[in-house]
Amino acid sequence: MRDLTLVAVLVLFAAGLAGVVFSQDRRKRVMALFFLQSSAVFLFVSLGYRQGGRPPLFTLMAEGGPMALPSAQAMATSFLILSSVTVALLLALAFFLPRREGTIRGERKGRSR
Amino acid sequence: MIAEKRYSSAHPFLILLLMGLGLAQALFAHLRPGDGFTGGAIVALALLAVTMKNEEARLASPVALVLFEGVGLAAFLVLSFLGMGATLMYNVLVGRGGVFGGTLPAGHNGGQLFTSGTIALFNLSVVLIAAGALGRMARAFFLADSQEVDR
Repeated sequence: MRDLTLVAVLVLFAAGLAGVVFSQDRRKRVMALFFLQSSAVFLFVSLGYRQGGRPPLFTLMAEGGPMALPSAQAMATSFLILSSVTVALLLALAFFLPRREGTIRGERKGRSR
Repeated sequence: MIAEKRYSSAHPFLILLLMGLGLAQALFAHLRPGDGFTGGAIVALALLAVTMKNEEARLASPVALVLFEGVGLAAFLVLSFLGMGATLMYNVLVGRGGVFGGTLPAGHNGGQLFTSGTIALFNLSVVLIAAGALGRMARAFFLADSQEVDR
């Protein structure tokens, strides 16, 4: 189980990195960046995994048994909100800049790369 | 020409659900993952769902959102300095009875909602701050989107 989640984290990270490096479209680059952030969140949550553990809700604590680490999940919720806000801002930039520059690619017009 | 954009509306039940979910995130923050900031983002989503449909609401002045933010910041400051006799952000309400000052029974227990003292109040003020700030951000995006010249 632990290994499977780590494989998923690696796949997400590789997909995001490939998108950031190889994509020319700004919008696709932003979404690839979100993939990278999501892989980090997934890694945090999987680190708090406990075999047979219950979700980290303290209202269920009285039933006993092991519990997944709550701090990783608390960090993940904050991280998800923060990354969604930054992605919204970056996507807004990626959508509004072409109206000024006339291209959605990250390069300047009239300059060869 | 000014581009006229139409956005779909959200059901009132969904909006109420989002509002309640955001407030619950803040109120239950000491018992489970989640905090005032995530709650504020969810409340901002609900505000966004309200204003998305209504053209007048989108163009209205953001004074309510600024008020949210200001009241939240003021509440946070007041709460921070309430326990200044001991230290900054000292939890003055815990264990004193009343709404938020319940006493937690000793030993293994399921956690109780109204025992957090000022923590829940801090989280609620952060909900106000985050909802105001993120709502103004979303409003700026919508204004930029609807007032741009369409190509």
